[in-house]
Amino acid sequence: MSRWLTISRHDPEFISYLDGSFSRTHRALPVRSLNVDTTTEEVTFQIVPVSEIQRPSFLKVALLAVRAPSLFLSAGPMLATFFYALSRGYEFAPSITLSSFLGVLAFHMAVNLFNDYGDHIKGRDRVRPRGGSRVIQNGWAAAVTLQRAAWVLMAVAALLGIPAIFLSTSTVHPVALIAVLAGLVGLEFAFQKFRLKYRGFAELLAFALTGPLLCVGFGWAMTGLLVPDFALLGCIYGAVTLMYFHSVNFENIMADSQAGVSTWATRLGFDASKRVFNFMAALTIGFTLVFAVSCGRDFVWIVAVIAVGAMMYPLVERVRSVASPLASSLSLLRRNVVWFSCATTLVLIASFIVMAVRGVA
Amino acid sequence: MRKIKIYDQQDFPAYLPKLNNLYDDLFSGGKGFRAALVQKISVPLGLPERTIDLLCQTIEFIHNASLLHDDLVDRSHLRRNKPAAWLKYTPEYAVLAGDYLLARVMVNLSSYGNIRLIQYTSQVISDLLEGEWIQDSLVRDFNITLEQLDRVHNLKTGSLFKWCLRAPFIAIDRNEPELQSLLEESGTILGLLFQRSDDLLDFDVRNYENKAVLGDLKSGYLNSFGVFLTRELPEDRRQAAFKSQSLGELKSIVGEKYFDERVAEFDRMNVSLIELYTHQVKRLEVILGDSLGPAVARELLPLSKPLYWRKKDEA
Repeated sequence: MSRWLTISRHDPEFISYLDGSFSRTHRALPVRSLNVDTTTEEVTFQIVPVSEIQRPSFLKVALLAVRAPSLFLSAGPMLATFFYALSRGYEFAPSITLSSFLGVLAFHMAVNLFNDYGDHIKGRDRVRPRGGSRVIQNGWAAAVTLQRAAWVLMAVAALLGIPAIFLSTSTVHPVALIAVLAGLVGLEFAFQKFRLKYRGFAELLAFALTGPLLCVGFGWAMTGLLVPDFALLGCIYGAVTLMYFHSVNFENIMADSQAGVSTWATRLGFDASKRVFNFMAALTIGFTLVFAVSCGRDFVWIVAVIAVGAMMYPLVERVRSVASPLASSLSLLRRNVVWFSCATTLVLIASFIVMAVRGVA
Repeated sequence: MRKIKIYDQQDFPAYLPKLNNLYDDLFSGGKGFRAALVQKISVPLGLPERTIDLLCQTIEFIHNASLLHDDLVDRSHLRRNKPAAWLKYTPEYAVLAGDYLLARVMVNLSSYGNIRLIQYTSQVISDLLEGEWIQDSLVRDFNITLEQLDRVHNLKTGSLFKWCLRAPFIAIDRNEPELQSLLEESGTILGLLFQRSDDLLDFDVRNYENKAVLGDLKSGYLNSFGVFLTRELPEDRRQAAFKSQSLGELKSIVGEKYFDERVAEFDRMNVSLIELYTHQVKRLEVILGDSLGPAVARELLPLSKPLYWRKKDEA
């Protein structure tokens, strides 16, 4: 049997209800608001016994909480960098490569969890309905549980990063610098101390973080070498991340506009947002083309660029056909961008393998 | 409750007979539910009769203006079992008549002189139009979610319910953010309950007024119960359901038992909303204090059930 409770933010118990630590047997689910000008002084909770909440399996909740599909935005660039380095015959340290790979994934998961926790505590998830994993909002896990899991993952990421920083043969300091820089940017994404996410910088930071910085840093940790091609490869993924971020903001254009939240989408408006998405799509293909040219003018790369362009077409077409800020096709866009990222990675890896086998690399 | 005359031919120019004829048709047969709601709030607040009349007229004018525009946008042929205004008087006259009502709202309110009320009413009208605009852009979007529809309904239906609750308080300068926010949230819930109940009528559930069935679906608009009914069906059955031309056909596709189960589940979800509404009204009672709280709560508390269940004896 559930009950309702409205509690002031100034109440000493408020935070315990919000983060779920008030009870082991009940969850406090904040009531969603359709009114952005709702006073933020009080929050109404539905207090529900945990036993009455229909929860998917632990694994499914965990995958939802860390937003598993979005992890491909960091896994993809690392896999592509790995296979590129392999195809070019660079020597690499397997243990450092593996620990760096897992460390970045753990860090990405921690950022996602912190982000969910932060949005929940600050009440942003009450007015931005499609954001986050919805694990807290559905009562499947307490906010404090996600926060603890995030800290654990952050510690795991730090531990896994140690080999790259201290055991790497030649480049201790640059890798550490990149790791610290990436860590700071990631933490800003999670905690939004400077609200960069809502000041239009999010896209640029994400471009660097999941693009050139990630590929250069990972490639550097893996091979001990600073290879410009890694940065070029990273630019492809940075552009994909731009598309991803923009699709999330575009999806929330109505709620964000009503709430006065500033994003590229709200500042540009509906039609211009479509054009910006197309520009980002063109940028992705452009970077792929530049990378292909830098790899050598082989027919494999012609096929690869055509394949990436062909995979991009349905995305551009989907955006073109969106007629409403609440259109269902808009809410599927971010998932499609992740799938595009996966498919692009496969195309790139296949190209690297073919090049290596043919001895072109 | 005092009978309030919302529409009087003398309020409009006698040299525009067609306009008056159109309004005669439009205002006859309406239930005046929103005006009644305004009255329920205004009387315990001690508002003068003239102010209550103005508020009731305002909300009914806005509502009827939206109906004139709505019927044209949706190409609905019937309104209150009579030909829609755009069919009988041409689309041009329907648009002009709707615009004229909205203009009269502003004329009347500005002569009352409460700038906050004018500002809020203008906001409500723009929300209403925004909702109408977005709803039209969702036609044939069969993957829409309940949450997305709630957003549209909050603009389109909820805005008027919110006005009914908030405007009487604004008229007596009770503009405290906490109070207004609570009234806003309560109005949103009433709007959602009303809309969801209205959406059930389209599937002939508790359709005591014998409204036309499956009109939304046939015109390509998946309403809230349509979303709820079909969202867990396999894709092929969903697509077949969207093409249904009669309720019998729809039920044969989804299964009669499944249909009834989904209605029961939909009701359970909305009972939870009714409980939330009750909670909010009790908070309102506390905020308003002993002098006003119990009287206002007494009027507001019973509202949600008849609004959703449609029959007072089921409340």
